[in-house]
Amino acid sequence: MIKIDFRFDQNYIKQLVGKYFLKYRCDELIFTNSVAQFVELYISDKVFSLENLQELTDYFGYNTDVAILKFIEKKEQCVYEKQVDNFVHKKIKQVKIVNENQKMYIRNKIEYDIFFTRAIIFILDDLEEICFEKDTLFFSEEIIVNRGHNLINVLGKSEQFMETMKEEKDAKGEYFREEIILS
Amino acid sequence: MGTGFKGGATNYHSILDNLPKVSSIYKYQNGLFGNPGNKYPIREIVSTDHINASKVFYDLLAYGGIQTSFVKGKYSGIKTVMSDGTVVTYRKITSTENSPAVEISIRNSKSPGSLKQQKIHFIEGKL
Repeated sequence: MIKIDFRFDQNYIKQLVGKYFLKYRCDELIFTNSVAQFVELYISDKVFSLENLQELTDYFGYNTDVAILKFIEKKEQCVYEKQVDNFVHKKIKQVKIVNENQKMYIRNKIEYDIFFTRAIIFILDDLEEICFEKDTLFFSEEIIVNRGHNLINVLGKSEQFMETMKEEKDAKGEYFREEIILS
Repeated sequence: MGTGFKGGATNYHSILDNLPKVSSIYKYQNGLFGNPGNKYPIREIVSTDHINASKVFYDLLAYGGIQTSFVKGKYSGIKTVMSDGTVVTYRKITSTENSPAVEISIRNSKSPGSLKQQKIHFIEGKL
């Protein structure tokens, strides 16, 4: 069995609770609420980059370009001019991480057990939420951005994964999601 | 976001505005272009001039959309957002050697019609 784990480090994310979410920078959200490749998060005195970039990865038995969602602290100060500021200026009350586990069975024997982070939701002190979600299409570098309430309900279903499993000989797929609340 | 609509179009096109023309040139069945690739929904279109074919395919499918370029990642590329929310992405270089690709994401599309999410690799070869 092959096990791959791309989940965010909870302990690392937990440091954000209680800090001030100043703004996020991304492509201009005019026509859709999705942006390509990355969003920069300005939280208190640090800048983080939420990136969804393609890497050559084993995708259920085939090496191909898979978009991997990562949350990293940005060390260099460079500004991408085409991006725009989206101001928040609120304290982070909680952070919710939505992890997904995709399993592939061949003739009822588990062959792939894949874990990754589907979304990160910031819950602010006035209970407004900001959600950054990895597109459910495995090669897509899009990040879907939403602001509002109960955003766990707007996350896309992993239909493409289930369709991929249907096309595989003798295969069965299933997926689960877990919500981790950091406060 | 850019200075106008892709290809010099006078209005903002949806994916359904362009689909009839593209599907009349390239094999299109059950919402998918070309032939099955190595993993669903990866598809393949074989052409003797596959680099040019990939660009022509992208230009036709994304005509009248709003195009931007990537700034990060291993493989540079361009993406076009159509008026319905469909995102069409083009990469000349991918991890598959000598095979450009067009990606179609309909996650945010209000009206994709029969079109499905897919990635189309262009392969050099005889038809």
